[in-house]
Order: sequence, then C-alpha cells, then structure tokens
Amino acid sequence: MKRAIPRVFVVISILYLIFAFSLEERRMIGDERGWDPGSRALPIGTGVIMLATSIYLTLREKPAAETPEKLEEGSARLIALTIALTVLYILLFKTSGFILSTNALLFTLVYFNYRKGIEWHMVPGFGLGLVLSSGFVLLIYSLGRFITRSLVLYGKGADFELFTSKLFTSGVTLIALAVIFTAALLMSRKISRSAEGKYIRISALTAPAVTEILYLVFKQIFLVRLARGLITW
Amino acid sequence: MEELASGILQVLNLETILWIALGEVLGIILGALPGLTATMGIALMLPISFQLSKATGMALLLGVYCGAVSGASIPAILLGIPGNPNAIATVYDGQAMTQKGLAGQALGGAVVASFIGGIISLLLLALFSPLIARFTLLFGPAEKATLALVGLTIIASVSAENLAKGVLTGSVGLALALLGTDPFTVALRIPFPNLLAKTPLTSGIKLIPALIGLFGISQALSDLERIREGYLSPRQIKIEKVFPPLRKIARMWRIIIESTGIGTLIGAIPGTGASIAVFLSYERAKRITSSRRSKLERVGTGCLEGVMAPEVANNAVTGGALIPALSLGIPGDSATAVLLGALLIKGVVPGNQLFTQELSLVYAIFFSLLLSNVFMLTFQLMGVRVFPKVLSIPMAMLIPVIIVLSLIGSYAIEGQAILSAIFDMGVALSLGIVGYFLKKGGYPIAPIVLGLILGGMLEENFRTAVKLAGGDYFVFFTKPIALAFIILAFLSLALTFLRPGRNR
Repeated sequence: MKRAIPRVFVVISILYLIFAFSLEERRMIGDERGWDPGSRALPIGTGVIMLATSIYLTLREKPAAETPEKLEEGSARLIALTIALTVLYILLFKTSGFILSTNALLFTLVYFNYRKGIEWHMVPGFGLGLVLSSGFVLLIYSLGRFITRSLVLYGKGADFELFTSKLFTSGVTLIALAVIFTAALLMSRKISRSAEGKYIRISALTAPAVTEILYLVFKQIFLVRLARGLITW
Repeated sequence: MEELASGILQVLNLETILWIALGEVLGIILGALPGLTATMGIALMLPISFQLSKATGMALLLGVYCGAVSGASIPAILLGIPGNPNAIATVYDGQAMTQKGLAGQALGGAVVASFIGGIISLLLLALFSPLIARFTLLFGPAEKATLALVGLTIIASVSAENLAKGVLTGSVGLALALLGTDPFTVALRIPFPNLLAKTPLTSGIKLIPALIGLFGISQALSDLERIREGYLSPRQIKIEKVFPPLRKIARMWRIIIESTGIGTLIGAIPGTGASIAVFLSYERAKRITSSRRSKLERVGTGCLEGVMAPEVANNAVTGGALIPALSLGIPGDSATAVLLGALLIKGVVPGNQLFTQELSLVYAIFFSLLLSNVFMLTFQLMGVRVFPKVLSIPMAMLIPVIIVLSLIGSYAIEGQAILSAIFDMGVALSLGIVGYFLKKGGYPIAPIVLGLILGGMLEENFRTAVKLAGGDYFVFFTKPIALAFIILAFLSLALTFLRPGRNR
C-alpha cells in the first residue's frame, strides 16, 4: 500500500499535467498587455509539485521499510461490499428513489456488519430480512405521509395554522412512528430469539427507522427534493 | 454596542438554543465513541447547518465541536481508549483514577477542566482575533496570496510525519480546487470539456461534499476495519462523587493557566491540533507537580491534576484554533477548517471585512461558543452516568448510519437539483475512498482540505498581484509583509528538516 500510493500519484500527476497543458490559455478581461499569468498557470504549477513529490516518494519508499499489514479477510470484504453498495446506491438513487434504496443500503450494511463478514449461508436470512425491512419501511412511510397530509388538510380546512407547520407535522409523525416502531420491536422479540433472528430483527428495524428519520429531517423540515423513484405516493 | 446586542439576539432565541443543545449532545456522543472525531461530527452536521441562518448554523457546529472535544474524555477515563486524539493524554491519569474507584471525579474533573479551558480561550479569541483581523487591512493581493501559501506550507509540514506527503496531499487539494471554471475568464477547466461541459463538474468540487467524504466516509471505512472488535461496553463502573473539590481546583491554578496558554497558542498555529497541545500540557503539569515545593499530587499517578491539564488544553484549542480562522481565513486545525468552510459557503469572508461588516455575526459566534461551553458543562455533569452508555452503541449499526448520513448530507446541499445532488454524493464517496487509502498509507488528509479552501484565494490573489505589478513575478519579494510570509512559509518547511527523528 505504502509503495503503491506514490506510484499511483505519479500516474495521476502526469495525467493532470497533460490536462493542465491542454487547457485553453485565456487571460482576464482588460489584460491587453498579457500581464495575467493566465488560467492554466496554477494548474501547471500544481501538477509539477505533485509530480515532483510523488516521484520523490516513489524513490524513497524502500521495500524493506514496508511493514506487512494484512487486513482481516472479513473486514476487507465488508469494506469492499460497502464501497460497491454505495456506488450502486448513487447510481440507482434517482430510479429507485430515496426510501427504498436508502433502506436497502442500510439493511444490507447493518446486517453484514453484525455478521462481521459475508458468507453464502447468510444469503437466505439476508433475503428474508430485506423483504421484511422493505415492507416495514413502506408501511411507516405510507403511514407518515397519511398523518402529515391529514394534518395539513385539516389545518387548511379549519384555518388552524399550527397543523400546517412543517415542524409540527414532522413532530407528530415522528411520535406516531416511534410508537409503531416500539410495538414492532416488542413483537419481533417474541417471534424469534435465535442469533440469526436477532441480526435480522436489528437490521430490519434499524434501516426503516433511520430512513424515515432522514426523510422527516431532510424532506419534511428542510424541503430537500429527495428522489421518489418507484414510490409514487 | 448595537452589533453586540444584535449578535446576542441572533443566538438567544429558542431555535438557536435548541440547535446548540442538540449539537452539544450529538457532539458528546460522537466524541465519546472511539474512532469518531470532532471533525467528522462537524462535517456530518454541515448539510443541516447549511439549511439554517448563518448564526444558527455556526452555533450548531460550535455545539458539536465543543461537545466532541470534551466527550472524548469519557472512554479515555472509563476504558483507557481516547474517543479521539483530543483525549490521548487524558488516558494515563484518567484510567488510573478509574482503577482507583475515582471514575466519577475523573469525569467531573475533565468536564470542569474543559469548561475552564473553553471559556478562557474564548476570552483570548475575543481579545486577539479583532486585532489580528485589523492587521489584514494592510493586505493587498500579494500579501493574501503569500498568506494562503503560508497556510498550505505550515499544514503540509506539521500534519504529516513526512513533509513530502504533506506537500503532495496539499497539492492534490489545490488541484481539486482549481477544477471547474476559471474565476476570471470563465474558461472551463475540466477534463474532456466537450463531453463534460454540461455536467455539474463545471461548478467545480463543492466544499461540503468534499469535507463530508474526506472526514466522514473515509473515517467510517477505517472504522470498518475494527468491526470485528465488537463494541466497547464499559464494565460495571460505579460513578459516585462527580464534582471535584473546588479547593483542589484552586490549588491547580498554575496548571490551569499554563495549559490554557499552551492550548490556545498551539490551537492558533495552523495545522498543529489538539494532540500536540494535550501532550505538551501534560508534560508541563508533570514537571510542575514533580517539583519539591509542589503540594499537588504527582501527575502520572492517577490524579485529578493529570486529567485536568490535558482537558483544559484540548478545549482551549477550540478558541485558539478559531483565532487565525476568523481573523486570517487560515484554520488552526481540521475541525476549524470545516467550520471555516461553513462560513465561506455562506458567503462570509474572514478577516477585517468580517469584523467590520459582519460584526454582529462575530459576536454571535463568540456567544454561541460561550453557550456551547455552558451547555457542555451542564449536560456532561447532569449526564455523567448516562453518556458512558453510548459506548454500548455497536459500531456495526453506527458505521452504516454515518455512511448514509454522509451521502444524504452531500445530496442535500443541491437538494433541489437532483442530478447535481447525485453528483455531490459521488464526490463525497470518491473522496471518502481516496481519503481512506491515503490514511492507510500514512498520508495526511488536512492538507487536501486546506488546498481546497485556500486554492481559490491563492489563485485569485496571485494572478491579480502579478497583473497589477505589470507581469512582474518578483512583486511578492518587494512587499515587506508578503516577503515576511514567504520567509515564514520557507521556515515552516525548513524547520521540518531540523526536527529530530523525523522522516523527511
């Protein structure tokens, strides 16, 4: 790792320098005499420093100086899974929407993190948990939307401004969902007490809860346009 | 006087007070969880602060900052594992006190010390930053360009064990800052312009997603390596008497004053950070208590003195690090770099302009820091038996939440334009992965952030200075202040070679 990084930077620096030299040379408006160093001066300078330091580091890192630091296989797999899933999450965010994709990402990461690794025999439990978790998130999302819309409609009809306030509707929704969440937690404890059941339960409840809280904060309070994707209501 | 009242009023309202309180609690929790840093906490809260007014947003971030710095002492005392580098030196005497059955007093002492350090450094911040900011009136483009250079070289030289690594990551930050569009000519500076001209890359790399990626996602990926260790539930530790005897604190006046001085001073030097300050103050306290005339308990034996010295210093760093950030636009440490980023995003320019045109905001920042310290003292003392329970939160659950919060936080900045927002998530993830591998290779992250923050300032002022000087590149050597900054930049690099036992 220690020897690879400067080598990668040598390549990046060369590519960056090619990019910097290829930039269109423009000077600022009103600079008829050409006194402005130009738009590519600093990129070229930066590229030269990057290349010089990365070459220096490449030559300096001795093979003997490298301490063997092997990452545990389970951890390495989890890191690779996290990176791969987050890339997929970003790519599919618009199509599948915030609620479903965030819940799926959270469920998968929490589940496999609890299992401290990824093995084939975990797949059935994972699949079951993902279905349960997706169902639960759809339920609490729909309930949340229903509560919020009902409050706003009632507030508008009765000219009661408090009910239309985003903080109030989010607060009421959060309390209602907390009650449902607690009930689901208590019920799920009775259903399965095995270790596998525990992992599924924790992951399938954590993911929808965090997803819904993020939805309430960013969408309902800060009015961020979270992609709807497959959920049209 | 009007500005002072306006500044206080910007903070003394229910909304802002609630945000500070929330930030404080979140900060204490994040600080207490080993592996999660104060910088990460602030970076994760950036998107929320972005949605609030300038004063309220800064108040929230300062609450997180204060809370995270003091919260780090909880695992240091109870488990012997510092929550983050701020509490590295608290481990020695803190853990020894716990073993003696004095965990409550150690926790209480750490909180009181954090409060004292935070308040005195705030006073020093309020005293010195306007004076230094007034000095910036003398700055033209040449001085500003060389000041940016000083910021970059100091952080590159002190943040890495290897100077070349610091310079390399600093220039990577600079390269990222230069992507997008030339500020003077609006010429595109992106690779494959024919292909990417209509993508969000034309606006360059935005600071918030970059900060979230570098400090949030990269840290979460690093923490995944420790996932197999499980969580660190503290053993059944009885926490009895919490508040340390006032007479004992009064007897420690010299340790408190010196630790505050060390913390504030080290905090004010860009790039140094709390870990240096806590060790220096701990060593100083050791020397004071080992003198024959001293009536204090010897530091290192598991005593309050050994807990209070580093805890005074690490919270004194918070005020100290804000001095150059607010007055010069050069952050004292990575956490203040993120705070500075939050100000810049809101269009606030540090320096004399801030202290003249937005004085009420400056007062609001000072007052928020004061309230944050008061809340920190209150919450930590009240919750001294509750906060240690956060150590039971499993990392298996926490890491995915941090990753998702980082992604959605990055998305929220451009929350109305879905494609740009998705692009920002990509920026955060990419820089998070890069940051993770760099950290693994022993490369510092802070210079990248400094490069990103100071890149624009460096380019604009460098080009303007050369243009105004008629194309003369030696203009930087003809102006005394600019020349002084160049010498300072050179010295900061040269001193690296004189430091004993350092790999160059």
